[in-house]
Amino acid sequence: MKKVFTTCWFVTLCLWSTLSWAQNKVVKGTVTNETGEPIPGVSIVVTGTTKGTITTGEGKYTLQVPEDAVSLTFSSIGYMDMEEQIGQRSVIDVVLVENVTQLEEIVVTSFGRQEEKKSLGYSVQSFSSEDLQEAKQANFLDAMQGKVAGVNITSSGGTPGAGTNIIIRGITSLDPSASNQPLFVIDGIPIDNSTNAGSMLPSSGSNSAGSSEQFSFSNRAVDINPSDIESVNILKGPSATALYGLRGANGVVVITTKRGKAGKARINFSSSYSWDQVGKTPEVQSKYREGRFGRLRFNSDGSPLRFQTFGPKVSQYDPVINNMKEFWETGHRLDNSLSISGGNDNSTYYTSVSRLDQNGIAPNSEWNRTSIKLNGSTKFSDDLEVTGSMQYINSQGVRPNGGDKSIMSALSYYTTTYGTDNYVNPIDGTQVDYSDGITDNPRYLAEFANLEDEVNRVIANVGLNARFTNWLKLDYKVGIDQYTDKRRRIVPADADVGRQVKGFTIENKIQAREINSNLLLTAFAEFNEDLNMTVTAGNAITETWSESLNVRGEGFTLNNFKSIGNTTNYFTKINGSLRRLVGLFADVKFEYRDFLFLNLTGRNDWSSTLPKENRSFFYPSVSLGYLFSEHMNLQSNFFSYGKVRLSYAEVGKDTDPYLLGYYYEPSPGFPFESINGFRKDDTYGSDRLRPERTSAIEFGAELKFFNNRLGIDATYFQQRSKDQIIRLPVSNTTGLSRYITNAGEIENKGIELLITGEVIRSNNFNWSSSLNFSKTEGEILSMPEGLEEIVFFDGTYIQNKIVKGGKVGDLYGHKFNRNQQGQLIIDKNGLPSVNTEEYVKVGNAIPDWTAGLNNSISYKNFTLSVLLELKQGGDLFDMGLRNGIRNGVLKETELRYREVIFKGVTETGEPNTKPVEINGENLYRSYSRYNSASEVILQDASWFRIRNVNLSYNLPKQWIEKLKMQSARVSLTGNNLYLNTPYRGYDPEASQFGAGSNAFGFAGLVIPQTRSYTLSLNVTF
Amino acid sequence: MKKLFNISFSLIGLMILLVGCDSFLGGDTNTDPYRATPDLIKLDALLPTVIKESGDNHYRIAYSTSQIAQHTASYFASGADIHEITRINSAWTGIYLRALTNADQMVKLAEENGSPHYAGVAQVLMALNLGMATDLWENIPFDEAFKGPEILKPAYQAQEEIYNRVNSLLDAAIPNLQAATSVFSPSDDDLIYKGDLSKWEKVAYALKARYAIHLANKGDSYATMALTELENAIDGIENDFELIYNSRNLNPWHSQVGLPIKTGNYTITHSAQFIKCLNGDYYTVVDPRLPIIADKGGNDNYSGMINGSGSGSTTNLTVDTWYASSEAPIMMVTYAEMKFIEAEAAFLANGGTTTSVGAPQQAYEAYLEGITAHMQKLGVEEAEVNAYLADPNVAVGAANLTLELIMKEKYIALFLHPEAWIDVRRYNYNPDVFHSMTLPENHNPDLNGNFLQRASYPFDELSRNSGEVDKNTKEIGSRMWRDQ
Repeated sequence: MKKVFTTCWFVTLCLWSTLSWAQNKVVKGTVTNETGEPIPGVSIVVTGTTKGTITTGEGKYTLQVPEDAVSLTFSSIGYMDMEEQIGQRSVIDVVLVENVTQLEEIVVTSFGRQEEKKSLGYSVQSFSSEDLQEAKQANFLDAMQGKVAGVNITSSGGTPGAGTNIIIRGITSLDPSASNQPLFVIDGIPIDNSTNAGSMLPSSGSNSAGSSEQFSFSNRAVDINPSDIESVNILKGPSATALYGLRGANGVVVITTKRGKAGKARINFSSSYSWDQVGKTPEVQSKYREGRFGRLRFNSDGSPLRFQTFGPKVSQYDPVINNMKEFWETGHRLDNSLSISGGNDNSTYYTSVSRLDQNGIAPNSEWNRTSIKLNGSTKFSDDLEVTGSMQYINSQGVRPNGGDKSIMSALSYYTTTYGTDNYVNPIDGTQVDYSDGITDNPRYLAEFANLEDEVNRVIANVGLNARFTNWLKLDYKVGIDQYTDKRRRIVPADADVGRQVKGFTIENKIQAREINSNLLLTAFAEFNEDLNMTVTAGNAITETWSESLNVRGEGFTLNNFKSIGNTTNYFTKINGSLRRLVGLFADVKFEYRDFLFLNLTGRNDWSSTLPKENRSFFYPSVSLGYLFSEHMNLQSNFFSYGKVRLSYAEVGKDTDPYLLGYYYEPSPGFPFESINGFRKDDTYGSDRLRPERTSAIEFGAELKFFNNRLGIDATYFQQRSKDQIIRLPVSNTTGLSRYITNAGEIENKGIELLITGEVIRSNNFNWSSSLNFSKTEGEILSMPEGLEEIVFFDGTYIQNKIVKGGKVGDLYGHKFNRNQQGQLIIDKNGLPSVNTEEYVKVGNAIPDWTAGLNNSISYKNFTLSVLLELKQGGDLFDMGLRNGIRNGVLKETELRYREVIFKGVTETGEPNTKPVEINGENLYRSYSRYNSASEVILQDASWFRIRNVNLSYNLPKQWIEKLKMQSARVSLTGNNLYLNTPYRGYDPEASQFGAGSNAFGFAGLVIPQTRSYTLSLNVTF
Repeated sequence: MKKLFNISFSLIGLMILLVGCDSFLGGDTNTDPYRATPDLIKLDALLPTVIKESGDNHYRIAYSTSQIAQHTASYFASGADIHEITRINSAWTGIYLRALTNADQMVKLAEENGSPHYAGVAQVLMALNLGMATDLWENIPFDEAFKGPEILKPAYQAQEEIYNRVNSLLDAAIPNLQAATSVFSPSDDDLIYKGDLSKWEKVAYALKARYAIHLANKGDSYATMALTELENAIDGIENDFELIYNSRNLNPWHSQVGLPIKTGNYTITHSAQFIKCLNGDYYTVVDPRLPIIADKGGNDNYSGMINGSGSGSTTNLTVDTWYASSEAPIMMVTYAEMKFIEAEAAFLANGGTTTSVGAPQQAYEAYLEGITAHMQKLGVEEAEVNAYLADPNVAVGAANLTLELIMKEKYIALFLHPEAWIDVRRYNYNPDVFHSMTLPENHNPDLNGNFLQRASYPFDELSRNSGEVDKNTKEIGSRMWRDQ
């Protein structure tokens, strides 16, 4: 197949080279808009013929025209067509006038290609720099929350620099450890967006499930300065990402950064200051003191024994402190960004420097980011342009810890009788907490047990654009993305998690490097007036490499010297990965009379991670866009635009490096004394591993009414991923625990709807509105033979797992014992009981649907935009909730020492009449009666929120002209201003396991989400 | 222009070349530089792992079985403590995946490169782990095990066959350990005996004795057989087969039970049944080992937790107790155990029963020697040892020796050892043998008043090898082939 493809494309190439014509006059010129800015991509055709060219990035063109040519027709999307007489002129400069009603959207697709949205056979959603700036988020992904249909963007909480998880059209992998994150591409070159959880745990003394939950590590796209972004386009399905091949299998986020434009230097300065506060917090009880059994407790030596809050009633002298709220401080962010750009006819430049300083809501947490960027291009001739881009980023922070034995778990236990302010003994620097070490003082952890990280990163690329003839051009770009991520975790000996090992520190150095080389040849052919064709063929080579060196030192000798040199036991771990990919691809696009667009692609990938004989694999895609309004001439005042799209695509997916066969690895817990030990790896990768296959269909329609003022864009997609590369759990008696093989099939389907409207359009007052809606669902069609379930995460009380016929995101847990009629069975003591033997399906973490409504109203110089978000369904297990119940901290435990009769039936089926006095021990603290029941601990996390409100004011022209400015804007932004949810914990938007994780349905032990207010200024000179 | 063409086409040519070029995608590209490929592995790298995992497996098993044998009781009054289905997943993984798999690799490697000494050591360790497994789950795989990915669902074998395999492994180990030449031999990588093969040989005989006495219910010939094997078994506490942990490699009882107590995470503690054997309650003698084994904190008396109640305890397994201290050994096969096997075997071979009184002198001497051995191990003062041995409740004389006394002392000497539950089951929790042993409170109603007799197959195994599990699953209250 691949051979046939290659042959075809060379034959086609030869055919075109025979297309030529008489040329005997040269016309040059520049095309600009009304404000004098050059317009690239303008089509210039000798009127009445098919001969023509397009303008360069600087709006310039050169065209050979026949002597008898009379005039040239200039046309460009979004502008009125213009016909210009040639006469005797050899230089024809024109100014095109914007066509407001015909404004066509341009989107950036694979490899930075700009395409008319109308010509695409698949759905793409774009964001402009303004869209992203509005929300004033440090992580640009967060700025898209609530705005993209079919894309789930979840922050991992309120830690400064927290990672953000992005999943496009659902999880497509049955393997809990497989990545479902999309590919990030900046200016045509992929960059690293991984979230490295690392290994941040001591050798004993932590019950944490994984270190990823502990520090909300950044997804590395956080390094991108949002002010440098010109646009973001999200390519969702395999049709859209076909040219990216296997790396685009989870979707692609295409980022285009700002470039300079010919003309006078343009200076832009933006500055913003934000206040962050903790968002929603759980409600605590205020009636009872610390203690147990209704009284204060004492040790045998008479000292107080405090931990639970099941003590006596609060008297008028006792303080009641809501630590879950009062612990948090107001965070601050100062974000400054300066850019200077400009250029002349031959060269352009864009430089920027930015700095973000942030203090988080957790005491002592901080993050900052400094970035320097240079984008430039220069032309050696009309046919040869060289581009380059270089960016240096330094981001560093002090991260508070979440997860088990953290600030968050300590807060969930912490009594309401004592605050956290008295946290350190001034004499010896040791911890002070009300429970004398049973739990930690969260403030002590925040101040002394945190993680520092620092990333130094360079992203650079150089490119070459060459035009051989007016129908054939070549683009080549090579890019590198390299960073080091240095982390240091310190835990003093008197913090719970460090006690067993007498304190520890971890030094983790991660290095990563990605090199990409992309070569594209693009040819254009016009067969006749009605039909033309664009062919792109190319080659992409990728190498990604990383290495992580982790040294843990345990047992501090000197109490207050927290250095790895001050520890007694060392544990060293090193691992890394190297992966290489080569892809060859071709894309053929036919345009028939501006209403029918057919796009065929094919790509062959070679991956280093697969066995030699299965290393090479091919997959095709076909997509069709049909503008029936144009074809059937249906345009009227009512109906202005109508298009249907249809596509089918396949994509392959390779796997992680080093999975084939087996290895021997150093045994954990060694060296033993000075002796080292190895063990056979319990994973064995089949040497017949094949690439995973995803096939997808997508169809959609775009309809516009009332002179384009109302638009509807609807998409349905269905994709099946089969031959999944899965770590099949096998009987440990085989000598293996996992056998990596191909098995299982998963189907994702969903609808995405986008409605846009310009409700009011007038000179002074405009109101536009956009609504997005999406519903995505994943079903497990087949499981590997003999395997009944795959557990994504076992949270002991709630498990996220999948079974055949089940749905992605299914949650399992225990339920109260009920009879067949569903009535609660009440035992002889008058209390309910939980069936802790069985895990049954109790919910699903994936929302039924989500919707976002954005309204933007402008009056004269004022603009107000409001983004509302609605999420329906999606269950969540608050991992801190049980602690708060068992310790009597939460409001829901306030009902005490009252006699109640549980509604239900006795074991023999009679209605229950047995009164029982509720207290801490018999109910709230009881695992078998209460706090393990999913009815208690699994909650509906539906929400309605005002995600973002932005009010901005553009300074009047007369003022800014005096100040020699081009524009100036001040704005006020609020994020998460309002939240309405039945969920009882902190703001439910904070995924427990951070970015890059596939375990859904868990929250509660990460630094909570914030509500923020930002004041900002943006001026351009 | 032409030049450009040439450059770009040669670029394309280069790319295509790269594709074809194996060195870019193949070669070592997909070989992990941080893990050892199978051709690099050596016997001395595997032995420490198998030894340490064997030690850890004793903890993994006994954490649960000590509750059933009533050495310990749970603060939660749930699970093994009340005879609920007990699976002990960690022991299944520890035995099969960690110990046996690597020991199996060692045997193969040792055979390949002519190193019978290593083969012998690996076979002893295999016999030990395989024996522990069958004593928990009865029918388990062996012949088809460790053959992944060729065999992904190994067939289970009956316990009788597994016992035969254990003995065959030991029978093969002994001549291997005695071999005159061996290309490689263990030295410092042998974390227990530093390469002293004669001691490994004693362990092989000790295990043969242990597995013989396990089958004592099948006839006196097994008791006689045990006595024969004991002649070559471990002959002093200095030769105990034990793994000594250190401040870096913490004893699991220390790190998993002792240390968490410091932060209020109580899990299990001494059972009332156990404490009563030592505090003068069941026997009118106070055992000098009591304060070494149990920490009563500020409390006045020693009292254990009543199984299944989660309460009643004044003692804890703190880091100050002998078994949960950071550098405590995990004792796998000890001289004390050998002496008690000898006492029991001689007692039974002489026609003794659970209620009969009187035994041959050999049994009585072994009984006293077993007590001495364990007390010496725990560092009991010589005067206290002598006082205890002289106490009329202990020094009853051969004519008054009962099985109860022998098993009581073995029960104490094998505190937190998996063997204890096997002894208890062999005598079917008989209160004549194990003083006043009764069902725990809140006993699992599914057992209808019967004692728990087996561990159930782990959840993982249920879904991963369901066919075999279904065929071999038995009622949790039904006795094993071994005990019948």
